[in-house]
Amino acid sequence: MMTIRTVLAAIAFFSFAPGAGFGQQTGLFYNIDAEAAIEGTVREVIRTPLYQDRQPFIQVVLEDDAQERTLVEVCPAWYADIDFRVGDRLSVVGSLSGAEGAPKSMIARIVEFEDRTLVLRDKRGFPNWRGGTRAKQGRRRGRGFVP
Amino acid sequence: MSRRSFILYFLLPFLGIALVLLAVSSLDRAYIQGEARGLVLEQLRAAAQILISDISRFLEEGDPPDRILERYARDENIYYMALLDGAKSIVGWRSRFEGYLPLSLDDARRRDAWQISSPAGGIYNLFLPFDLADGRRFHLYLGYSLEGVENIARRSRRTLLLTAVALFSAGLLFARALFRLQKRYLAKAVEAEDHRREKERFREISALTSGVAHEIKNPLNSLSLLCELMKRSAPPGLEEEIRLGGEEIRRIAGIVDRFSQFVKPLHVERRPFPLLDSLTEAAGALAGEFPALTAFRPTVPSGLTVPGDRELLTGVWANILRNALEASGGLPVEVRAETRRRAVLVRFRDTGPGLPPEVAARVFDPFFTTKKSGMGIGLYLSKKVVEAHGGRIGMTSGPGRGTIFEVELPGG
Repeated sequence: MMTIRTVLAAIAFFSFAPGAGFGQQTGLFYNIDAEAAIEGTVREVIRTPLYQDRQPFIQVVLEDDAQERTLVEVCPAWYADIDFRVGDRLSVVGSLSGAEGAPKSMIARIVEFEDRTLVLRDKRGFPNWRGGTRAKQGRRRGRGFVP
Repeated sequence: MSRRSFILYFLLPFLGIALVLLAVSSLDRAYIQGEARGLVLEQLRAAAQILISDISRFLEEGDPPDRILERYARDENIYYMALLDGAKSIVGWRSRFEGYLPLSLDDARRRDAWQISSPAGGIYNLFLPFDLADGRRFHLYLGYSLEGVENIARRSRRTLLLTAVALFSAGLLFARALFRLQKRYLAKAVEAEDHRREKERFREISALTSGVAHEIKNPLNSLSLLCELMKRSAPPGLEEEIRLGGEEIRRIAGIVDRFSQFVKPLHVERRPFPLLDSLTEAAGALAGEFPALTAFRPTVPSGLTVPGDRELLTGVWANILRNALEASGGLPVEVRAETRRRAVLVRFRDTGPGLPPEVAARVFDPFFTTKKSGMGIGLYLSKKVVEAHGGRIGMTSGPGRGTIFEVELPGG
């Protein structure tokens, strides 16, 4: 039996509905009980407005060695100073959603790319771009995403 | 004030008071924070009960959970909220931060509120079950901002820090002022003691000198008279010896007169006089002994006058010039005068070998001299004259650096 969480994750995966006002969410939240690590190759880079501020948000479709695909929600484009490209190899730690056989989604907390580590959220899933020194650093870097 | 007294009577009481104040302030701050947190918790519970009551009604009316939560989107103190069904599966949620809903299965078993910290500040969490009239069970998960309380704490911390800084700064300033005052007082006390000793010594010397002068002068007068008589009836060939004897008696009388002058109290008659004229007069009086003074050209601002006793001060210049010329072996002495803050400063610089510190420290002492023919009263008298004018005289010297005498007189 599919749980509501699975349904919400599936909706998020297929629609990526943009936010519409304060507090509007995609349906995915960082579930601290479902933290997992995955590794794979980037098959698609998506830049789409998510959440309430409608700023471009980076998502990547990651394919692991078993050719299973996971939609990984990374961070706002302005916060990342990494340009992900199709074919890049990533290791991601984050909150995984999706039941057996269903499309999988993940909210990334840590992304390792080449020899760099991008810490995106704290252990409880609080987004680093919304507070603390990391957010300031991110805004100062302000590099954004180049597709 | 000794170091021990400073620590005992100032530092320890000050630190004690400062620490008590800071401790009281800190305890007060902790109490206020605790009370504020308590109030927030009460507010949170009350708000949760109201929310539950409203949400129950909406759920019974058949509103979808997301739409129900949408109604509370404007409450800025609610960071996130979620509705869970009886099996604790989330049926709706909302968060101010992207994907942030920090609820774990362990948290869902809690009965009391708990606090978590986040980069956005502290957050109170509440997980409450509630039942609808039809028997269905739901749970409300609420994350409530502690920003207000934290602002109070921050302000309180800042006030405490500022108070501490102000207190310690004031203490440091006070201690510094105290030390400076004490140092000045000690310097004055030492100066007064030196002055008293000097006066006492001078009084003793004066009494002795007056007595000796008086005792010597009477027989000298008799001897001088006798010489005159002897000169009139002296056998041929003895006139020269008698004349020499008379001269020696007059020389002794001169020395006695100088000593008498030395012990007399000074009487200063102040009248403005041109400084350049006075310096030139002093140089002229010494020109016979020191040929270098024929080219004497002091640097004095045009028309500069000094209110003082011209005769006495000319004597002072002559004394200093004589010392300078003797020290430099007759080489020219640079004399420069200038006005400085309602005072006249006259500086004499020689190019002599300078004085060792132990000699320099005593040059103004009476009867101190390093010269074979000197009596050691010239500079002492000069100092007395300058001080009688309300001025000061000083000297800087060092081996190989020459010597500078500075006389500062009020007025000009």
